[in-house]
Amino acid sequence: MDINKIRKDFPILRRTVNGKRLVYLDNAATSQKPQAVLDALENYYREHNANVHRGVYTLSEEATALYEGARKKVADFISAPSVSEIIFTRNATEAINLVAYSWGRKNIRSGDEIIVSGMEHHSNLVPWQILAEETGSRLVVWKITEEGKLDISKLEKLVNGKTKLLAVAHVSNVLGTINPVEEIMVAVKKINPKTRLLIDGAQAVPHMKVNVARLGADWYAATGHKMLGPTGIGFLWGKKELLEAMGPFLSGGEMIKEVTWGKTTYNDLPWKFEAGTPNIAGAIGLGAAIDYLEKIGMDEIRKHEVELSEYLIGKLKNDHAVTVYGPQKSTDRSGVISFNLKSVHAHDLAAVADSFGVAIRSGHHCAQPLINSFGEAAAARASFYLYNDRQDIDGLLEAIEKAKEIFKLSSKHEIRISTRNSLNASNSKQIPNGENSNVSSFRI
Amino acid sequence: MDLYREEILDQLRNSPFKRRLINPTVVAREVNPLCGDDLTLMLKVKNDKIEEVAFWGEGCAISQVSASFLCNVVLGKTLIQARKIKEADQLQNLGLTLSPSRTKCALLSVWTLQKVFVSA
Repeated sequence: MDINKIRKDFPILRRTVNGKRLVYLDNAATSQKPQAVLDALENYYREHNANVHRGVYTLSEEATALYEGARKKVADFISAPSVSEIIFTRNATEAINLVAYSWGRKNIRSGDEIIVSGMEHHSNLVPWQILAEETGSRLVVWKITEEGKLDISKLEKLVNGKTKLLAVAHVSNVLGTINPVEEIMVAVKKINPKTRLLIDGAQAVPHMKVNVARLGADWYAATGHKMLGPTGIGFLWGKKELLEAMGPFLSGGEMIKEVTWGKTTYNDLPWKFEAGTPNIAGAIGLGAAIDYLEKIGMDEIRKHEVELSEYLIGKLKNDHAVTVYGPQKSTDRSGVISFNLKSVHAHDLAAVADSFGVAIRSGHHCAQPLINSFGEAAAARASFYLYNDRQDIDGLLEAIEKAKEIFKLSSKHEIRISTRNSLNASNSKQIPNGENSNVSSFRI
Repeated sequence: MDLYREEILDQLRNSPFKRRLINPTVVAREVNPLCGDDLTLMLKVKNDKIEEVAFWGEGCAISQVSASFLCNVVLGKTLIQARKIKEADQLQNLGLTLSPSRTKCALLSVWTLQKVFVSA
């Protein structure tokens, strides 16, 4: 993999920020776009723009071919058994909401249980919270281990006859943990073969080869903008029988077969779940992104990210002022590294980094319960992709040193950034007198 | 980095207002969901005047310094006067050049103060 050649494909990497070379390390939030994707977007609007599935004229046929061609690319990319199992959505969040709405509402009843892991992004947590509330079912949390992994043996206690669904991330957007979803699937179905499994693959699909047929899940959600594609496009894969049994999500045009005043029949898969004019350009852009990724090879990309992770974690581990979260072994994790610098709030670290042209994320990363569960309110996060290199990491390390310098502690003055006790489940708003304050709020 | 110049860091390290009040009259807490800044304001009010004020919580330097500044401003004021403090006043007082996202950090203390009056 020729990084220099790859970097040339990404026009934004020529930018400077605050006079410095752009070091973009927030790929878990969104990825940059190669010229090929930008070209595909422009080319569609310039040469082939028309609405899909509707016209008999040439332009419409071309647009439809491109759109459905993109769907095929997605299906092949994740080894879906059938192209009709790929539903385009706005993003992974919408894909998960689709399942909650179309499957959850009809199939989850009062007294049922839904399991989510303790490392879920809000998009794979809040829809289930709302569903549980609406249906009178119970949300159960599969807590993470100290190392930030999931212990499959715990499923024996968690999964029972009432468990209708387990929703879990393939890769954590905070800890970088790669969850052994195939094994999870086997373990769950052993206890209750009727339990459904939904996987949030937003952080997985862009960075490693995913084979949904082999994983054995019932649904798999992912998003385009994290995998070099444009924003506004994502997809849901689902098992055909399941999708066929599910009622529609959004309704209106396109998802219908026949409409009369009294009754409407729905379209076949996948169009049953794609109401209205879709994000045609987005899907085509995503198709181009997949072409680009396939040309480089997902295994190559994974290998590259492992190398970068090992380099950064290696350096951070030797720094006593830094705490790195997540699994120890680089093979257990993706190129997402969350960490904290002692006595420097993640926000401030990110601000210092920005002055060096380095973009890292700071905050709770849309995973408040997770961040709270390791006794923090916020963390800094660096996340890689195929166009990052060692120089990028060195830039981050330089920023960390600068932050240490700016916020240096003398023996007299202690900057109290964290007043938290770890793992405290109380929601107290009181300020106690004297002892360590208990201001953490661990929801769920 | 100008934002983290010495006076700011000094406020951060040595704020006389960062402590817990025993038996406060009013307590209000606000969180900035975007980043995890968490702030609690405690006031001791006697005869309508803010006799003592303190803050607690965790957050970035800007949110902490802003809280310290605000405590300094409200100390000795009446509740009516404190109620009049606006976001623009706070930003002017701080005198920092802030991006939109960091502005929220600076305003967290003002929002917390405003919560005091909602509950009062």
